[in-house]
Amino acid sequence: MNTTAIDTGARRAPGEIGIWGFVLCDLIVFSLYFMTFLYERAQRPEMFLEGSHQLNLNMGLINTLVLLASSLFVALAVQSIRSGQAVLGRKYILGAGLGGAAFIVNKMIEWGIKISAGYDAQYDLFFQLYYMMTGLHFLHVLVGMVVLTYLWKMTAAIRTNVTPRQVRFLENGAIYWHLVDLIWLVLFALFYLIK
Amino acid sequence: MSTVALSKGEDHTKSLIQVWTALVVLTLLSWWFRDHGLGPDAAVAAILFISFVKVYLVGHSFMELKFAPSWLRHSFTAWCSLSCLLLITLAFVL
Repeated sequence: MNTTAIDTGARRAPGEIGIWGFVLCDLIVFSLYFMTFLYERAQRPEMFLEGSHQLNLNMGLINTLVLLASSLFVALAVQSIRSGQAVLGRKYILGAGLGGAAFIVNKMIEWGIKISAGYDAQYDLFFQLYYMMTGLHFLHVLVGMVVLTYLWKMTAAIRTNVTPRQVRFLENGAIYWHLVDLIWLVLFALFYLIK
Repeated sequence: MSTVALSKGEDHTKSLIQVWTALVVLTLLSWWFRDHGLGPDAAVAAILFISFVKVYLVGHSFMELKFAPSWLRHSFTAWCSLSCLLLITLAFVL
């Protein structure tokens, strides 16, 4: 059997080129949404200030901290599995998945509270953008949960050796999950923090 | 079948935890800036700037761009810088 040591110190693109193409395109698309939000905010400052005050800052903060922890777990999982600690790596993937699940539950509760209070997507432009942009991000989280589930199953078979294909898939999945975290960091600043 | 023998390699755990700690501190700092310490305009600029510092840290460390070829690192850094600049400009100019 042909074996090759992983050179983690080598200067190479983690994951595959395709995932980076997707990441860069997704970032550009979200940048346009971010700019649209700030443009509309400048046209209707009172509406956006009122909208921001209606959001639950603590729930937004908790979701941010949860996603940051989840991202850390994924990064630690990649490192553990590449360095031969597949069992530990799987525990980190589980931790990341629990973080993703907590985000989903928190977000659904937050949406439910707002909608039942009358702040649905029809309420005003602020809430229209809020549901559209956080909803699009939510879809990314759901896809990320499917990816984490696949990684969890894939890594169950790893004992001492991991194939280059498995490493690439692991890295691709991790990059995607970090993208989900990264987009949320800006959404949190735009919707919850700036006044 | 070609497999990769898992070498112990360099341990980046400490560095990853340090970056995560910085991300949490920056998050709490921007949360604090929302209502304290700065005027409304300065707070908006500080919050947006801090959010893109966090984005850069996630890319550089968690996404392992620090190990990536320069074209990829520079593309990501350019996106972070340009987006941050455009958003802060939009927040003030319009």
